[in-house]
Amino acid sequence: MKRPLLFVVVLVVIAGLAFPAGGREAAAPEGDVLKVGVLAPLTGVFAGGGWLIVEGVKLAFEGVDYQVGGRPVQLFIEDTGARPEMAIQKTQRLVEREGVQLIIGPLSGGEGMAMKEFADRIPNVTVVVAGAASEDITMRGIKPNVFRTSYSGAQVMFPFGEYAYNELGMRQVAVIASDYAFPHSQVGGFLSTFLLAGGEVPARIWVPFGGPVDFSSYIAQIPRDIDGLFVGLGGTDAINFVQQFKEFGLLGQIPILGGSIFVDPVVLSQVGEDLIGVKAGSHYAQELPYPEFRAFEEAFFARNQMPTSLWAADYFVATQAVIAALEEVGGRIEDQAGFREALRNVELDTPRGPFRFDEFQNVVLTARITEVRKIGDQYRNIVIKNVPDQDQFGPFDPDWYQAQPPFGRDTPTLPMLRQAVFR
Amino acid sequence: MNAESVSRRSMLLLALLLAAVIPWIVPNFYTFLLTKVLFLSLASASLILLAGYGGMLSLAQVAFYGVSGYIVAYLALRTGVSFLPTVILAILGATITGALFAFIAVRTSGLYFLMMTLALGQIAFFGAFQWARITGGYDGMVGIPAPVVFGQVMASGKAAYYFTLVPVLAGFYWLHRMVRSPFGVALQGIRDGDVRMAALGFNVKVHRFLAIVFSAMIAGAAGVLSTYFYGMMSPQLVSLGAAVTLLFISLLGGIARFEGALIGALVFVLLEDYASVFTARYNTIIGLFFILVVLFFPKGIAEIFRRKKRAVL
Repeated sequence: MKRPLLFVVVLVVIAGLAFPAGGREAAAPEGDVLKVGVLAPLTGVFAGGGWLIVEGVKLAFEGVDYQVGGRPVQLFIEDTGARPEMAIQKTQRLVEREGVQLIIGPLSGGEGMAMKEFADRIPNVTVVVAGAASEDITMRGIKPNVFRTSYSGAQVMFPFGEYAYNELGMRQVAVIASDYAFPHSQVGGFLSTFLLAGGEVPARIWVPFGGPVDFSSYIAQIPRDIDGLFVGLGGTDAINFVQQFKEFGLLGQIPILGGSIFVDPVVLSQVGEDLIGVKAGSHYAQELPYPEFRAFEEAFFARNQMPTSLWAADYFVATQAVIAALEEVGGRIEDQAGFREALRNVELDTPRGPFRFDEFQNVVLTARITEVRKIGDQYRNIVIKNVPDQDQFGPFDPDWYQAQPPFGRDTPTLPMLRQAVFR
Repeated sequence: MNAESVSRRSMLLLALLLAAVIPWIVPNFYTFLLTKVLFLSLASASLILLAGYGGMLSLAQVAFYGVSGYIVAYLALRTGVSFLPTVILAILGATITGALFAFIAVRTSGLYFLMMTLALGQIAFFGAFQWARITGGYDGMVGIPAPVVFGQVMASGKAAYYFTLVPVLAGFYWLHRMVRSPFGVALQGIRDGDVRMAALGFNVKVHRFLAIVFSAMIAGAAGVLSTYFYGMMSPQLVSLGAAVTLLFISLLGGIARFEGALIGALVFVLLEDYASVFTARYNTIIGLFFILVVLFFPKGIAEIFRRKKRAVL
């Protein structure tokens, strides 16, 4: 009977070492605490950028000294590992156990869609989707308790398709992108306006997400007589692709157009030299013309010794919107109807520019076209065109748009777009 | 009936009673976690049948789990097939997958068998990942409506718990009977000495084949419960990580007997939930805990209870 006892002793020691006093965000503040849940991927494929989005949330609450509407704020940060089923489990924990009535997050599209479906089961909780870009989170049937402050994949791409045709003079553009909802939506947005303007898409090449290290069979499928190649890849996929595209001798031969996560700082730090001049569609860049952006960039750098990222900015803006709405209702999150009404009416100047919601509880934002330049010894993404007041339907009538199936591998098509209803 | 079996029987009754009333005692969130414990333990039990009683360590349970899960998701979302046929087709799908796999895999044993199961698990994962037209690919499938049984929507909380509890208990009972049947005893004989059993006239391959098929069936049932529980299915649930988690749960609890499945799942789910509150490096804590268990109780946590019993009697 000695071994079980020893076992327990060792266990207690390890527990003591592993959980230093108040492992959670300090001790619970005194008074009428306002509890806010945050869903972030601190483990798994997105762990690298995951902790930065938590920094975005903290930075925003620090700006108001963790006091909103006269109530002290307590953060409950939960890791989802970017797994949809974990997002649901952690939401359960936040709601049932901690009594949270406001959740900021999640990040990935799959989590976002799972949360949308789950929202019916937590009617007294408001979910502010701060990162996920799956289109359907805020269309084709919306939930009263789900808002989105980030963007939909197509939303920031509508202006880019037109730009490629009209200002870059491209007529034939092929597509290579990851095969899941977010790139489907980004490619869909780009092609909608590009095809309508008169452009053609000779090939759409879909690559498994996080899949191949060897892109040669995909690169071989790219037609050579095209004016441009839309690349909807991100992270290591993007880096691998660019390196192999170069080995094929195609870099410089075929101009690249980028999706929103193609030219992020991590990719640029690896293959920035090869991407100078690449234009992309996004809603964020590493230099934006707002005082709020400067302030955010400086505060973020002071905290983390690194520049801001799109994810950090998206979570920061989500938290700002939440704070504004909470101030409006005096911190009374318990009055969910009043809080949601206040949130719907939030208008803000953020690091991303002017911010408001549309009637589908999705953000209306400024879309941008960016270009990679070398500034000093750094490769940075600079805005070359701003397109204000973009909502998730682009030039299309919301009813017509929602009657179409979500963008997939083969949509949109020109016959479908010819039937389009515009607003 | 001797004293031991009486006390065992009363323990069992007590445990059943506790399982029946626990949602009314603990907060809702724990009911949620316990539901997860239930279907994970059923999946783990399917592994224990193969590994503990059949001597066939497997990483393929997630494949069976996934096949039935995706069948539920597909039928519920894209067709009008109702609840009961959906469940039957899903478990049938897992069983057929198990039979096809077993047909090939019974020719191997030991490490080679493990490699075969790894291959099947990976086929299932990449199938789920890349056959996007059917499985939704990386995005998975969401919005699976909660099942309706006897006019009751088994959406969440207590309803979901009991919806999961009943089949899990039935599954455990079946497994319990199975390993005490002539088939089960022969299977354990084959585990300990397949050549001898063959010499005694037992058909080793048929026993192994059936063990794999039954195991697939049980894992398939766990997949059905999981899919209804989360209301979604995604490739992450059939990944290598998920397969290893299942193996981990079984080893943690004790892979030799079915109690290990329940104990392992309970400890794992609570530990994961509790540790993740304190630190993002909770996987390290779970790992350390596992090392401790292996050091002190190489046969799993279930061993603690068995020792105590021996000390009492």
